[in-house]
Amino acid sequence: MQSRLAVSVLFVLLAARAATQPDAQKAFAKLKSLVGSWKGYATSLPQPADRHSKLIQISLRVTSMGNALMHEMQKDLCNSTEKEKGEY
Amino acid sequence: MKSRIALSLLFVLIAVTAFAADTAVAPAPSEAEKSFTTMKNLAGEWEGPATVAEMPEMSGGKMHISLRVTSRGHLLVHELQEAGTPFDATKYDHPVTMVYLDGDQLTLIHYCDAGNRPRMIGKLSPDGKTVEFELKDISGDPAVHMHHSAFTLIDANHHTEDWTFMMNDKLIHAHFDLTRKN
Repeated sequence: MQSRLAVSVLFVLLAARAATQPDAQKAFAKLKSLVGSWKGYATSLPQPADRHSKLIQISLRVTSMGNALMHEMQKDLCNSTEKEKGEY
Repeated sequence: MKSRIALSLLFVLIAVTAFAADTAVAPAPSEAEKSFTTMKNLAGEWEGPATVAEMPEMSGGKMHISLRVTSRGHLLVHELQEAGTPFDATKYDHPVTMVYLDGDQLTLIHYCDAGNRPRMIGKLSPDGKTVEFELKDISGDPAVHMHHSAFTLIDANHHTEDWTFMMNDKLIHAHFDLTRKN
């Protein structure tokens, strides 16, 4: 019973903390959950007729003791065609 | 006869224009551009001991510094951490600093582990070996902050960095003696 109560109190505390977090902190925390390496297709809108979607790589990492999120983007050269590499 | 003269004049004009285009001199780089080029020469991986004058107990630790040019040459990214520590910037110090040209000013923004972001303006020393950055302003809580920095190029494989931290109105000077690792 005591442990259930403790768990409930913990959840309430966490919820209270989340509720009191300013929107900017919540948004920053949400963005930080994206940490990792990502791959995908980039499409521009409107799409030029002579262009097609490009494979890109994105790296997201937290730095400066959690105070900054670093986003780096580059074309995925490993999985690009020779033509695409030439365009880069 | 007239048409021959006109034709000759036309050739002369074309030749003069072509010569002028060939000899057109690009504008001399500004002081800020020269400073930025000097800084970009530091791109690479560096390691060396740290000396903290006011805190001898903190001296002797080996630092690892990474400098790389990115954003098509518009930005120099500086990352600092204690050599041998895991790559986990939420548990270990790992400040990131960005250096770039903002108009005619060489600008440095230090994304501090303390959570603030001092902005500094850099100038190249008359001997062309040191780029020194003075604090301009700070975004975030300025209670403790990085206050000053200086990069001195010794040769292609050696440079030093001096970082001055302001803690409770007291200046703490850290000096890094760095050797190129690649």
